[in-house]
Amino acid sequence: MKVEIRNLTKHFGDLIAVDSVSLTFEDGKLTTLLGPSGCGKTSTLRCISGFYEPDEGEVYLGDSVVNQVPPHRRNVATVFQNLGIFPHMTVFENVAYGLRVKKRPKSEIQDRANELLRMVGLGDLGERYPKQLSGGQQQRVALARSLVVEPGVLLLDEPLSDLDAKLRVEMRKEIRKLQLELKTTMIYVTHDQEEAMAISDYLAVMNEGKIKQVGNPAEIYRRPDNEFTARFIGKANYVNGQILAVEEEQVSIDLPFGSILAKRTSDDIQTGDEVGIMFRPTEFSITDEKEGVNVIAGTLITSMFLGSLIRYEVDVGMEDNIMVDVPEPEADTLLTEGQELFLRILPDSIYLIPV
Amino acid sequence: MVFNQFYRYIRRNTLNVILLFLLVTFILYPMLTVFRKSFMVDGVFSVANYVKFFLNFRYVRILLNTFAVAVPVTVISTLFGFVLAYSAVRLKIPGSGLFRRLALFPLIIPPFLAAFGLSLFIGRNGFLTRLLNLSWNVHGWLGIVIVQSIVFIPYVYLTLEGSVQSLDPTMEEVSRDLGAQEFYTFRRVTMALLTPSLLNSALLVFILSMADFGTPMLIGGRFRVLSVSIYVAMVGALSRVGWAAVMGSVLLLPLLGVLIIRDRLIGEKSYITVSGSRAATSYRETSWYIKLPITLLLGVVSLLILLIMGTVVVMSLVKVPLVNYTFTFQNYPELFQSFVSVPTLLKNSIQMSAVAALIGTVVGLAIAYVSVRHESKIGNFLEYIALVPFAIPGTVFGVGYILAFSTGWIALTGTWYILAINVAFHNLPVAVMAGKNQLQQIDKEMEEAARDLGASGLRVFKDILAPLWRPAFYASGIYVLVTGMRTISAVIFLVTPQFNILAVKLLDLLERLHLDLGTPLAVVLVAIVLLIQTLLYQLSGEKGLGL
Repeated sequence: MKVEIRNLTKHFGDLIAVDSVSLTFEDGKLTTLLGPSGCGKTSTLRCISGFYEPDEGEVYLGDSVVNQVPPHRRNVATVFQNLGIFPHMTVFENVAYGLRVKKRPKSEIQDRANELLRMVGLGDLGERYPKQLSGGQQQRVALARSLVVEPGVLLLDEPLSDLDAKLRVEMRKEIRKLQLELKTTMIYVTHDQEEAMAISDYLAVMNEGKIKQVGNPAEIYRRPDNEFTARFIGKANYVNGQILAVEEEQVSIDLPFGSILAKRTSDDIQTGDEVGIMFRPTEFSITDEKEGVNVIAGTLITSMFLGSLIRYEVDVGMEDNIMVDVPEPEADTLLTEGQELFLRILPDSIYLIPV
Repeated sequence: MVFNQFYRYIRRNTLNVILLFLLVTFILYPMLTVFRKSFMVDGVFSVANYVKFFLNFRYVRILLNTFAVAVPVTVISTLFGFVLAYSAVRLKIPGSGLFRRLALFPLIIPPFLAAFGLSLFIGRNGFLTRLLNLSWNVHGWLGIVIVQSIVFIPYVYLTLEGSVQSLDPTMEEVSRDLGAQEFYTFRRVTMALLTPSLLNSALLVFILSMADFGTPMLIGGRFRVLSVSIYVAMVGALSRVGWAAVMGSVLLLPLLGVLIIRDRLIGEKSYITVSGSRAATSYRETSWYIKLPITLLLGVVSLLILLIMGTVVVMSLVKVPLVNYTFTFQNYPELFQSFVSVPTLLKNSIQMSAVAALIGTVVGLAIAYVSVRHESKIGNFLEYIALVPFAIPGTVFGVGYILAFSTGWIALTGTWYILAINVAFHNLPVAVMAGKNQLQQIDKEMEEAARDLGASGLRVFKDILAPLWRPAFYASGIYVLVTGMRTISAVIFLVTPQFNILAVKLLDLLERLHLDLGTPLAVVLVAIVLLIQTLLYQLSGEKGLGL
């Protein structure tokens, strides 16, 4: 089922949690609302599930406005952050609950609940009580309980936040697998950008109650179109600068640590424009040349060995230090802190963001 | 138009409106009636009564006496209760389980019975006094302080137990680890963190002491306190209800003040918890020079309780208590053949307490629900009123009921269910707190998950809330029932010759020194309360207080 919100606004007293947000969630796809805590993603979700009534705007489930419809009459199911598993019911009873409420025939309840339990890999544990299960298993119970009612849309509110790192990775694969198998429309809320990128068809980056950017994960990562997204998604160095000159293929930009050349990515760049510059830590090389195009001098502040790469923090005379990742480091190339070094940025890897 | 809006509001807030009606009728109205009565002289508004009270040294003296008891009792009880709670949770003290049981015992006996036991033991004609041929006198200030200090320990214990348990022992370890001495750690970490709870239980004891009337009645001798004076004014040869109302107001005002200060000062509203669940304890190693004095202190308190109760039991098994110590079992059959119709009294007690438990628990849980889940102004207001009875002394509450419900639009005096209503609303704070504590542990997301899966409001209550809330229901129900069985202070004004209850009859017998009937009746009453409580905890599958 397609879900759409139009000009959705939700206040809590003076605080505007959701600020006139419009967004379409495609049918059969997994869309993630991604943003830091307090950005309004959960409030948006609760307006869709019906636990909040929007102050302004509309929520469409399919083709109908559901603003006035109470949660239990919406064709929506939610996996809650704390799961909300019923501790006094067995795993099977938990999963069967939605069907029992809807007064489905006994045999159907039996079959459907068992089928879902099998799908989430809990086929044998139906008679157990939730407290006898591990965190990951409880997660699966919550998923099965919501999916059993065949909701038009499944909402997931940071469902993995209480799990440890390894289990989180495993469960997000599981959720994605189920989503592709059942083709359920899902709206997923998280603040973990890696999780969001791994799981989603589409990402909507949110901050301060507003949508900052929408797109598929690769687009968002490679071509952030605003400072917030650039800083929030992935490790990034972000600098504000001014266009010095515009040429056919390249532009030259004035930055606090000197001027550099970058690839011209759009037509409407004028000399004198204020722009943001983003470059990923991997897009540097350490060079022996002391001068040249796009070569920056700096002082090494810290180096961190991270296994497959080494991360340098370099002071180039700005407020923020620059992060540089060097892949496959060899022990003898390790630089010492306080050392002078020179970095080269490739013109193609610099991404301009309109301010 | 206005009427229509009003009507709609009422329909949408049916539960709130019903609760508000009940609280106003059965808590605020009787209390306001007491105040009004105290300002009425010959049918006109006047402060003459108060002038009379405060200008007469005899009455001021009684007021001062009341404080003279409450202050030391507060200090001693809080200290003992704290030592007991801390050592039960944190220190490995030999026999601490037994100490705990004995110290909590006063919770299930009629509040005046300990006073009576003490006077049998070391009173003017007490067993030990006679045996050693002494001439000490515990009747008066000393006796009241001793007995109250002991019987209020359980309330402190129950307030503090949870706080001590939730005190992460890591913090104490960190302090030690950073080089702090044991005593320094205790003072700067343990005590500092427990201060709000300690203050809370101290205020609770203060209120209980000011309100208690059974103890000063039986062991106070000529040392008068306000609660006893109120009682005398109500039932004395010439009943002076108006004067009782004046003294009731004088007693009530400082207590309401304490309640307000408490809310302002501490903020958290953790009265005693009766949820009955005991979290895991984490012991820590302690030196013998700390354990030894604590063990001795607990030993002395436990021994005293044991001796007091033991004396009552022993006296019920001798021919003529305090005179002829020949062993006999005859008192028990004689009790049942005497003018004291035990079966009827017992039936009345149970009937009244059971109905009180039902009303108190249902109303209390409903208020807890509105207060926790609705988070509305009206919810907070309802909770605030529901907690007021906590500061109302039983005697004053009883006077209020007599004044409010004798005539007028709700005339209930003389019926048995006014007793049940009185007990229910007097214990409402306990039910509300039990309900609130439990409800706060039930994740709201469970209710939302059920709603989300298509369950209606009523269905959510039936499927999710009711089963998960059951422990609170049982805990507060059992608490109110047991309290109903042993209480006297408020109901003593409300019983009638046709409908008397066991505890009131017992006080009556002891007061008139019918020891041959009183002592066995006391044993029977305590045994029955203990039996009922154990049985109910067994049936409900809840853990209880471990008595």
